[in-house]
Amino acid sequence: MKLGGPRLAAILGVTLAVAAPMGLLFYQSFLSAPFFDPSARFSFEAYQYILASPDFHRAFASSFAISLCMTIIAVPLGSLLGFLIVRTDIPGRRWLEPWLLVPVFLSPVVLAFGYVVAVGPVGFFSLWAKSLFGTVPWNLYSLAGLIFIAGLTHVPHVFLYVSSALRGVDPTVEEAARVTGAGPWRIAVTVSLPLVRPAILFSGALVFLLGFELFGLPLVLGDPAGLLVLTTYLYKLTNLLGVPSYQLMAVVAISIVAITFPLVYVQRRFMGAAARYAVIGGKGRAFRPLPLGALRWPMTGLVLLWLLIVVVLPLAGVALRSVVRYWGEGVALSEVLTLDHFRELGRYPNLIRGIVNTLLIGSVGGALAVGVYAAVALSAHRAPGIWPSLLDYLVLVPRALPGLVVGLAFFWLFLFFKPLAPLRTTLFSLWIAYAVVWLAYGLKLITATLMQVSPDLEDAARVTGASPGLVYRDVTLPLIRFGLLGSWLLIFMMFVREYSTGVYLLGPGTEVIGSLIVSLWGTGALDLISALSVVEVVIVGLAILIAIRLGVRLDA
Amino acid sequence: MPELVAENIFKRLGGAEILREISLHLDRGEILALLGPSGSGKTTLLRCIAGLERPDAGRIILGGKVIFDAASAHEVPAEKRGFGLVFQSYAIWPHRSVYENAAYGLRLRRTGAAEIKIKVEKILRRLGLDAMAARYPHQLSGGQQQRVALARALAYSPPVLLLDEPLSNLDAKLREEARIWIRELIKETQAAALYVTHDQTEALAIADRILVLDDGLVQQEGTPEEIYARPASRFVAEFMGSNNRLEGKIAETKGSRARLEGEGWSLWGELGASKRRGEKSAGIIRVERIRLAGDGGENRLPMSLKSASYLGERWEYLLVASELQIRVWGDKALPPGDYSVEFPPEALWIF
Amino acid sequence: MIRRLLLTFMTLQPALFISSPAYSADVAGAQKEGRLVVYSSTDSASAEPLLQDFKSLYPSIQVEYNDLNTTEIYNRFIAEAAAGAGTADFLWSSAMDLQFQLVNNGTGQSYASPEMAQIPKWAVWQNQAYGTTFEPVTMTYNKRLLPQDALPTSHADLIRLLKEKSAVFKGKLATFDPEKSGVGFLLATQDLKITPTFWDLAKAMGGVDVKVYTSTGAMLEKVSSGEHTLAYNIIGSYGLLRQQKDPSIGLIFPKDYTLAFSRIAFIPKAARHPNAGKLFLDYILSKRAQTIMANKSLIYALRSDVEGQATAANLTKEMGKALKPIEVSPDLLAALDKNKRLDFLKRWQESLKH
Repeated sequence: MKLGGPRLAAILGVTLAVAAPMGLLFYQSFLSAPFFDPSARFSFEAYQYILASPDFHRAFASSFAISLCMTIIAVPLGSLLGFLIVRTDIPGRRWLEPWLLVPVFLSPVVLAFGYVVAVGPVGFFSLWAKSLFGTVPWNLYSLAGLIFIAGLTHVPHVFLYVSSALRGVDPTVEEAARVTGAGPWRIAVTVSLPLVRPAILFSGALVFLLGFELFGLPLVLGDPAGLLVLTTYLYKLTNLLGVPSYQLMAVVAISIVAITFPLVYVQRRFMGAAARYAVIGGKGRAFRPLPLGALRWPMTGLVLLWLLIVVVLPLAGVALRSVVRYWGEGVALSEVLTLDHFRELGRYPNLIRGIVNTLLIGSVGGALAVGVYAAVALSAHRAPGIWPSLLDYLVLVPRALPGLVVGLAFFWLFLFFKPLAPLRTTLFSLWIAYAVVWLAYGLKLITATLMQVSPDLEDAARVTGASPGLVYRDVTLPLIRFGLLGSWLLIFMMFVREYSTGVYLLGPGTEVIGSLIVSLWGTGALDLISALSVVEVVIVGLAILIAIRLGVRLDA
Repeated sequence: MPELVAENIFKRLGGAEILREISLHLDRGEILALLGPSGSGKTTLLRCIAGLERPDAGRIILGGKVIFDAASAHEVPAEKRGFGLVFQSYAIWPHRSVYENAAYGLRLRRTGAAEIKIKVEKILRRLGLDAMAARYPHQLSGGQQQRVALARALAYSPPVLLLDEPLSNLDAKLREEARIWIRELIKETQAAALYVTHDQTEALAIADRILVLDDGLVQQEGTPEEIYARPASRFVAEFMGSNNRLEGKIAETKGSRARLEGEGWSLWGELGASKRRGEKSAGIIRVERIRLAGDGGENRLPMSLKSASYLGERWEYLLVASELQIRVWGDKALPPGDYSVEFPPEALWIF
Repeated sequence: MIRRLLLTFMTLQPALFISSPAYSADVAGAQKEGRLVVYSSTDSASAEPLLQDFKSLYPSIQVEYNDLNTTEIYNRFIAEAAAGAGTADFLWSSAMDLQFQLVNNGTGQSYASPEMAQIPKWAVWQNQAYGTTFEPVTMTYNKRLLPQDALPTSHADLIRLLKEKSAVFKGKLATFDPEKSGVGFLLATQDLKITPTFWDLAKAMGGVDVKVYTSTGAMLEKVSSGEHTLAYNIIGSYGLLRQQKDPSIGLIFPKDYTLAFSRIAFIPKAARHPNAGKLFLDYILSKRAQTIMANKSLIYALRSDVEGQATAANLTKEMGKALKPIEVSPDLLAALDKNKRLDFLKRWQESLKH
């Protein structure tokens, strides 16, 4: 197929949407002052300063360590979880799945704060442990604690991609292994998971990059321990020299981008090898789940333990905080219970607008984003030449950048690029920023569904006389509609929880929950934050339940 | 004027030369079979013609119009070529009913609703699918799905129908029946058809003319009788039918005939390629052409019967003589023992 | 250059003609503009009563209130000003140094508010930057958990207690991170300006393994829960607001000196609705608004003629000369000097480690 006009437009559009903010940051990193300041001149000073700064090296090293450990924790666990849920007879598979995704859509600041309330030095769980053991046997504010929590809360990302890929694998290959005498554990390790290596590699790369972008968790859990990571270092750079030093922030951002390229390269190398022996068949026929046998209950225990740590603990912390006036050591919770915080939410028109806008950007914006992602995925779908590779490199970049910086870059674009200026104060600007940031995520979801459409079905329509556009409209899109619905739901969750990216693009009337939480965090309206978060969780929870009732599959 | 002409089609895929300068022509109303083992390039050739693959060199002309020319980089896209194509996987759209699958091509051609109805109903009735018009593909059996694929490809009366192993997913019984009615159907519609298959029986039964492909090259072209009875090469000879092979050396030649000699045996046969004395050669003879005869006579060998297997409509005997081992068909059970085996010289081809 | 001068002149012009408390002239202009855009770091909870009241006075002016943090206000404003795009009509931030720098760079316009007479001299700079509040900087403690005998009454007392009762305070003390927080840096350098013993305090804090924060909210939450028992340099208004709901929070106004901090407001030259901006400045400085600040917003009224819970007057009565307001003056710029800043932070780091 040749690269026709619409396809070219879609690919170029995406390239531009990613490259523009990136290019601006790159340009800024070589200036001596803000790019819009008349005194700005070309300079390597920012690079010299950052590269000579011990804080940068320290932050980079800890970010790298955290990313690496997170990946090491999240990838095996997420893959195992995917195998257990998709392929085995682990009890309660159906109802477990939505819960597995809770850590994904919870705003990280809130998640971290939930942990503080639950297992912080005076958290309710810690106090209970203290009454048992005489001391709190863990320390939440430590590198180990941070890595542990970051690793576990990123398991769902891996789970999503691996489970979706596993569903595409022909179950007969597992049955063959079973007949040969392999137990479930051996089947997972030697047959099923190696077959979905591309999904595992992609999610591994994604988690690794998300590790660099981590902000909420290190801010809340790392700061008290004096732990500096790249994002908190960025935060420091806004204040260190008195006024925000954009050129320094840009250099740090560029340093993160510099990591993504080799990472994507390595990932592609491994994937190229893996794609050769993928035995992905069409829609899997009905098959009997693998019996786990003696492993059944230990595995269930493992999953429940994980759920307890990443879902129950932080959610309980946040929920508890939302119904008490204060809490902590020496406080009898029964005396401080209140529903005032929820009532108070109603007193702030911006909070109510925020909830409405969040729903709007999640549902309508999410649908639009899925539309755009689908257009891009279709354009790159069996496209000739370098486009697919280019996209691979391009799309991961925005997610690797801290939301704080991406948000600022988008703000500048909307401000200084006149054709976009009128959109700046509308929800549209926020939508673009969100859509670009979650590009890799959404694109991958849709590409995965596209792979399940047999090329023959599309070719049949072409030979019958349908132009490429009509082929998409009449064959490809209808065939992936359930995949698209699933992607929509996931993007909805991503957009609902997104926070720092939007901070600069908000105004009265365009507030969203995530950013309101960031604003409120500064001055400490934790009453409101926790109540708002509970509302957020309820909204997303309801959305998931409704979607599942409507037959939307979470696994795309 | 031929309906479809392909000239010197050359196609390379991932470093391997799949098609090496293949040419073919297809006359109006004619059924041409592309026959070859898997990997011979026949499906690639079909896809090149359909416009789903782009040849690296060559020219394709449909109804007098050039639809592809590598030299001038002229290419009519697949959807504008107007072929009908039946896929090996059928590729019927799971989200459309039988009726809608068949009607799609007509809708794309902006045919009026009433006319669509008439045409689709006609083709569905012809294929015995009229009762299933409202069903979806997953509610159909394999044979029915296959017929939907045909109905879809024929509904808009394409001048040329392309079929890519359309029967390979059917069971043996259905396949035998389908050979007959598919040929009838194509003949009725007066479309020319290019029929890709690896099954020689299918090609023989359906085609007016056969093109045998191997290794990206045309090995032989001719009517089914010519291909079967007068193979031009050892490949074609061995690919068609059920054969015995006798390895030996040319002992002497006389006109178009030669005597092939092995250890303890010697037989006259028809020379299929120019050979010199003493050259190593193989004699190919169809199993059904060998007969067990009485003693003496021309071109016979004494052999001993090792076993006789019952195959239903016939018996198959295994006979040996020193290094030779051959299969022979007969109509009754025979006890082991010595027999005289006749190799009619005109049926033994030496390559 | 000439154009710029002309522009300056044109924007200054309205101010030149206002002499008496000529509210009326402004009101007409503001109502004609019909809109007011505010960038503010004062959270909605505190701002809401003021905005409600302003709307009831001038219902025809639509107020667009952007609740941002101080860095966001600064980033947004300089970029918008440079782009020539519309920006706020009223910038109101607790980052005194950043606000002052913006005014000092010539981005603010002069306006002699008729309310100026009621405001201390130190709170106004060249009719451009106006201090609007008078917020004591406190030590905030947990009433349940901090023992009575460990309650500091002054800075000197705190140093002594941190040394003597280091076991009580180990890991239980919180303060701003001057490296990451602008307000934290400002307060720490103001401390140092008043007394060189600040470095002793820093060392003592390092001795009990002080935890540093960027967010007042996080500190108050953790003092309330008992994760910390004492937080140093908490802005009183936040403590007071929290105290309303949370009886575990106690505030200490240090007796030797108590810093008083003021949210600075100014009207940008680039304001699209300058009259509305001026009207809002007049309003914020008015007795009516300051009374609301003292009683509802709890952000400590600056005017001396206001009565209520959180007022400068009350504080002065109680603390007298110990109150040390942070003046709205070019001194604030010293905090932004790059080298001085890095020197200070280096010494701070060393003191904590020692």
